[in-house]
Amino acid sequence: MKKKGETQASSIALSLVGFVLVGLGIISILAYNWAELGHLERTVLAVGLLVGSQAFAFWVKHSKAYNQSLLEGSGVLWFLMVGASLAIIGQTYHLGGTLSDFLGGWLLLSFLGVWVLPSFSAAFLHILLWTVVWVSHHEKFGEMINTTMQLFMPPWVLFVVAFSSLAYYMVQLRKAHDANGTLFLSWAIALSFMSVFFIELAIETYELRHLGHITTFLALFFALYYVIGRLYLSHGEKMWQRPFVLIGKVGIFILLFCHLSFRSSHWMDTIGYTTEEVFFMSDLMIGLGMVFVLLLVLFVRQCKSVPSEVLIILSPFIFFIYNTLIQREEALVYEAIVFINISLVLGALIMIMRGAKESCMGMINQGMLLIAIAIWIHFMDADFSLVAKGLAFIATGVFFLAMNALVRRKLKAHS
Amino acid sequence: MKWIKQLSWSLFGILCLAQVSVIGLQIVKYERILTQGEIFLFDVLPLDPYDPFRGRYVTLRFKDANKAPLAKEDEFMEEQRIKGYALLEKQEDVTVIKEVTFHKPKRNNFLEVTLSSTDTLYRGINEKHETMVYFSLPFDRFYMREDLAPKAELLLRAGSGVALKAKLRVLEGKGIIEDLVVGDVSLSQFILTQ
Repeated sequence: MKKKGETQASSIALSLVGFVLVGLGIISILAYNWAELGHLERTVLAVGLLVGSQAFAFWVKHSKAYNQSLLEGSGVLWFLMVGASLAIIGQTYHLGGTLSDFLGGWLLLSFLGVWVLPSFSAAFLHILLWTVVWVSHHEKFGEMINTTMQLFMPPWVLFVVAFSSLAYYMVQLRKAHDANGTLFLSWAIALSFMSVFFIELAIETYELRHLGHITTFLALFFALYYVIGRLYLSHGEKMWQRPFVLIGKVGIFILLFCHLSFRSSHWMDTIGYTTEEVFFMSDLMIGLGMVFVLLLVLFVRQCKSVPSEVLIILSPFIFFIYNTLIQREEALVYEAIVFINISLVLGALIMIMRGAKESCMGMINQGMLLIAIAIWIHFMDADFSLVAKGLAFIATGVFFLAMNALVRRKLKAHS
Repeated sequence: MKWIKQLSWSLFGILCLAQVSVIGLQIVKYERILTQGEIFLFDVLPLDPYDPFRGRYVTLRFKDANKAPLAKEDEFMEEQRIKGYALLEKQEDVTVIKEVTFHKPKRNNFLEVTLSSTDTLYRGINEKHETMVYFSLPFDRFYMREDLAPKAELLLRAGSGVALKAKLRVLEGKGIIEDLVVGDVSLSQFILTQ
C-alpha cells in the first residue's frame, strides 16, 4: 500500500516537472520575438496555445479524471499557457506596463482554474504568483524604496484572489490533510504569508526605524507560526512535512542567536536600538498578539504538560522583557543579554530533559546543539588566539559526538 | 453531489470563455487600431532591457512628450484627474503634443494619457499664467528579436546621429506602436543592413 502511494507520488512529481518544463520552454521560445512571424501567425499562436491547453484540461477532466498525474500536469500547463498567450499579445502589440502588471493580468485570468480541475500544483503556482504581485504592487512599500508601485486593478481584487486560494487550501485541509498536495500548499501558504508579513513589518517600522519593535514583532510572528503548525498545519512527523513549525522554529533560533553575544549591543546601536518609544503597540502588533494568545490557550489545552519546545512558545514574552530592559532610559543592556542567555539555556535544558524522558533523540540533540552554539558564540566573543579557538571547537565537537553516542546507547538499552 | 459536478463544469466553461474572450478582445482591439488608426511619428531614444516572459525589448524615451500646456477651457478645473487627452499635431515629419485637455475631444487626433502633475507658470508683470501638465504616454517599449534589441541600443545611442522615430497608430484615443523607423526603413531592417 505504502509502495503504491510512493509510486503515485513520484509519477505526479515527474508529470509536473515534465509539464512545467514544456510550458516554460514554450514561453522561452516565444520570448525570442520571432520577427518572421506576422500578426496572423502570432494571433493563431496566442489563441491556439490557450485553447489547446483548455482542450487538454477538458479531456483530462472528462476522460482521465482518475489520473492524478495528468490532472496536475494539465492544470500547470493551462496556467502557463495563459501566461504565454498574454505574453504573445504583449509583445505583438508592444503593450506598455511593467512585468508586475503582466503578472497581475495573468493571475486574474487564471485563478479560477485551481477550482475547476481541481489541481493543487496550479494552486501552488497561483499562491506564489499572488505573493509576487502583492509584494511588487504595495504602494506604501514602493514609497519606502522610492519606486512607484501601482497595480492596474484595485487591491480588493487581490484580496478576492487570495480568499479564493485560501478557501481552496482549507477545502484541501479538510479533504486530504496529510496528502502531499496539501503539504505543498502549506509550504506555499507559509512562504507567502511570511513574505507579506515581512513587507508589512518593514512598512510598520519604517517610520520609527526601531529594531526593538522589529524583534518583538518577529518573535510573535515566528511563535505564532510554530503554534499554528503544531495545532493544525502539520502533515506528518518529519520536519519537511511541518512547514509552519520549521519556519517558526528556525526563525526563533536565529533571533535568539543574534542576541546572545555581549557584543550584540554594538550592532544594536548602529542599526537602531534606541531608548525612545519603549512600548510601541500598533494595530498589527495588537492583532498578532490577540491571535497568538488565542492559539496559545488552545495549545495549552491540548498539551497537558509543559511542551519540550517551550522556549519557542515563550519567545515573544522573552523578547518583550528583553526589549523593556534595553529600552529603558538607563538601559540595562548587560542584564538584558544575561536574561536572554539564561532563557536559552533553560529552554535547551528542558528540551534535553523532555527528550530523555520521551526517548526522543532528535529533541536531545536539538537542546545540546543550542547550548553548543551559545558556548561557541561566547567563545568567539572572548579575546583568544585562533589556535585556542580551534582547540575549543574541536573539544566541543568531540564532547557533542561522545554525548550523542552515549545517549543513543542508553536509549537503545532502555528500549 | 451532482450539482457540484455541474457547477464545476459550468465554471470550467465560463473560465475558458473568459480567458479566450480577454485574449480575443485584445487582439480585435489592437488590430482595429493598426488597420484603421491614423499614423503619427514621434522622436524616441531606445534603451535595452529584458522581460523574462515577453523577451527583449527596447524601452522608449519619447522626446518632448511628457509635458504640454493645459487647454484654456480646463484652466479653472480644480478637480484631481488621472486621465487626460493629449492633442496631437503633425509638424513636418514629426508629431508634437499641442495641449492636454480633460474632456474627450471630438476629433480623432488625440491620445489618452496618464496625468502625473500640473504646474502653473506666471509670466510678466500682468501675471499671465499658463498651466503645464505632466503626463506619461500609454506605451514605453518595443519588443524586438532577442539578438537585435542590444544591437539597436548600441547603434542608436545618443550622439550616434541616427534619428529614430516611433510610428504610432492612433484611433479614438487609443494608440499602439506599429514600428520603429529610421527614415523610411524599419529599425530591424536597418540594423540587419548595418
